[in-house]
Amino acid sequence: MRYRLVKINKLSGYEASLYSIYLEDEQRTLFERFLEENKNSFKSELKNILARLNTIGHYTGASEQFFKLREGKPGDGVCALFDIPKSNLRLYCIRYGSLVVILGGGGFKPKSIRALQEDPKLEEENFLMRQISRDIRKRMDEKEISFSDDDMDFEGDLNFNDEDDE
Amino acid sequence: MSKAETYNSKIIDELFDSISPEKEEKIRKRMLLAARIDKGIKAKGWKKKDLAEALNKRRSEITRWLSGTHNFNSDTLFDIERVLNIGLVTLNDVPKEQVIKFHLVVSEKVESANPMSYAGTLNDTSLIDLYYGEKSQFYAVSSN
Repeated sequence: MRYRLVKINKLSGYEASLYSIYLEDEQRTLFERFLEENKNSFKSELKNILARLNTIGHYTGASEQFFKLREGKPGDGVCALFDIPKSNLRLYCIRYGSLVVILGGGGFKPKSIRALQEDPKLEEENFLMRQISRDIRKRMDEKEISFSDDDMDFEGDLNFNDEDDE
Repeated sequence: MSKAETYNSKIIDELFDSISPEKEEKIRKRMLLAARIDKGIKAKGWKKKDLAEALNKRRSEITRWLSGTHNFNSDTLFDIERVLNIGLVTLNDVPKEQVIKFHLVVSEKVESANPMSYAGTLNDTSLIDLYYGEKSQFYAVSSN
């Protein structure tokens, strides 16, 4: 999979930078794919999600309280935006403190399931975020990616190709 | 070091622009309210479970309150104000014109600060912290 990290202009502000994963083959980000997949069935929920993300970027920062933490492996930062009670959608993210969030994908979360493994779509989206978190960690360990001086941005080689790292 | 590309998205713009200003304001204020409650919990040296115990609530309910998605009723806000000793609901009318006099004392120079940002309000305490920007020189100042 070829992808690169991009900073979403509309949602990023002085309090937090919101990134997503631009998929070279699809010519869109994971977050855009999530929006397009759900805009017909859950438009109202998407608007609520966008307003909350905008607040995080411009007013509050990405405090832990606004997320459902520990949705991935210990320490990998994979989480989900807090689910509104009775809501239908789950959006996966990777959170780097309160200043940087990577928005991934997600999907419909049936009320009947208790674990993400019970839903193939959510499992796929979740595992993709875990993989991306590992890719970024590896680049950071190799000093190819770092945070900017103000900790608000990624810097370095933000283009990924799975074949490069094999 | 190269920085990330700044990305503009048509679908994000379209969906975001379809949110009414009133709705956006409500969502924003719920999150700011939650942030203020969280700050009050920490200022008291408490954790979520302490607030849950003080109000005889489940911890999961406090988690929902702090998520910024909860639509509080007024009694709950009054209870939170009481146990945390913070203000959440403003009942007094704000005068249209208000003259505030205070004495500023430059206490130290700080290396970096967000110009014109401030913590605290004049109503909260007689001691306020201000960051005042002038010609890229930032000073921490206080009033008394």
